[in-house]
Amino acid sequence: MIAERMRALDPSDARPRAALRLMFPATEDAVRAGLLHCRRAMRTAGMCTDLTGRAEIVLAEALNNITEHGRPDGQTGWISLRCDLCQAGLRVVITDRCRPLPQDLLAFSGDMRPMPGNLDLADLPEGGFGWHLIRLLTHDLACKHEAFGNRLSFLVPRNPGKD
Amino acid sequence: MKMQLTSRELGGWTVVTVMEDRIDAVAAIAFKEAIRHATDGGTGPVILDLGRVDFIDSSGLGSIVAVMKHLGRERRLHLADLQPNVDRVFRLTRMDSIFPIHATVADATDSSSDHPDDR
Repeated sequence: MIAERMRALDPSDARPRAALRLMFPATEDAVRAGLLHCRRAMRTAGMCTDLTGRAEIVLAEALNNITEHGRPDGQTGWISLRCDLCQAGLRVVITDRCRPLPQDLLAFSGDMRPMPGNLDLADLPEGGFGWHLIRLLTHDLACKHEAFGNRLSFLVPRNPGKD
Repeated sequence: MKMQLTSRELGGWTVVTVMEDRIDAVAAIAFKEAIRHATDGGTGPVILDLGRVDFIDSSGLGSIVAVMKHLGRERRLHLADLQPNVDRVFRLTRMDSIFPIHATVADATDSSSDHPDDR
């Protein structure tokens, strides 16, 4: 269920060095298959382990969020993923036809604070990590709800300086 | 979705080794159920050996937190052998301050203050 097109490496920095296009259904299984496909493509394109690892975390969180939101009509939506490897890092654009993503998720809420040592076990969070990871690991994070659906874009920087 | 785990007793500890390479949104619920099954009826602290896991997402992280809550303070959950991209997720979410994290299972059983013989 994955449609894909991979361009050959381009030595020019003016154009992306490698580009990946994927389309797949907004389901957890298809997202996992898409992520594994991306990982192989990123390695083939010569991306370092560190950048590949950060990109996989961000892509997983962004894509899983879409599968959780779903379509207003309850149908399975489709996700379109575009990754361009460039000088600055990996530029990603994800479009979907699912419900609008809440804009407040994009607001940077600062670093997650260290957990106090005496925190009660029952108070430990079991969720809410996803957007935190996306915000920490990306630059230029933007999300627009357009006529066709959501358009989420970001850069996973080559030299993050904050990880 | 099946989640493959192995479980063994080691000097008062329960060592649970995850035999999968991902704990993600697909696997999170099965992971919680499998680890509860693997630890039910035992005593003493639990070490989760993550050496074979090369990727975890926020759903997987949430499921490990849920397991820790399920086990409670009497059976503290320790983590061992985190691969680099798994370690990164724990660090960035500050969950590395919640779990005792050890380089290897042997490090945990040799040095931890939770050692069953010390209590």
